[in-house]
Amino acid sequence: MIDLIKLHKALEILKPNVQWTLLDDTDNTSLTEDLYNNIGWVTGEDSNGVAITTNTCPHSEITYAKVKAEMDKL
Amino acid sequence: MAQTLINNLSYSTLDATKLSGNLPAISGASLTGISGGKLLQTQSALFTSQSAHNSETMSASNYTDQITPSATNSKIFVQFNLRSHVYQASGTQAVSRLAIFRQINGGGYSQFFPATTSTCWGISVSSGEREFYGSPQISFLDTTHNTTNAIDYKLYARRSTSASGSVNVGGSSHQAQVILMEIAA
Repeated sequence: MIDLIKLHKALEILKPNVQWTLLDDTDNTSLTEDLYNNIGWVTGEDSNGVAITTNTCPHSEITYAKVKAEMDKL
Repeated sequence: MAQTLINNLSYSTLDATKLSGNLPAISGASLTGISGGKLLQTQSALFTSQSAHNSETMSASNYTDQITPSATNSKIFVQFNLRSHVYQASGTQAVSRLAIFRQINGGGYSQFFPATTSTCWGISVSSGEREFYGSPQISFLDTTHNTTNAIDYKLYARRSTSASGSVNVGGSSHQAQVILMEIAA
């Protein structure tokens, strides 16, 4: 499984306070593009107080290559 | 060896000293008027996955299990045992909020326990980087399901505020378990 704290730190560098979720049941120890594409980017909240998410990143500052590069530096 | 002959009559009392050795098998159907066990069924699920919840709104984890009660008035004992982890680079607190959501007959999840707010845990300090690991356990009794359809319970999590950093559930090599027990009313 990947290091979620590293992923958090990388995303905070690219876009502070970005909201996201991720379910990781893989054996990957580094971020793959497939896993990156499973990140749920929070866009709102439904009537049950649950995050509304999209797997298409709405933030231009964030791409798989940038996130991977930042994680590799950490 | 002396033997006592018990003839084929009915007895209102039977001296316990007359019962020795192996007793003959008795069909359960012949036993009446007995208050049986209260535990009707158990379900459990084991997980080693992880999830990140870096938002101020609840999102689902992988931890879930399902039970189908045999009676509408039975009680469901629910227990989630897990490892959770909060991290924050700076600020004043690293706090997560956890809650169990319930779904009946596939009708969609809504927060069930606690009914409002959530179970908070983490640390609050004046400044600096902080990382905190814990093994929260959430247990409660569901007495309001009123159904014999399938019930799903699922762990949801969020960070307490935007300043609460990163909230994670599970992790490599860390087992989590969900236990559900149906208890007769």
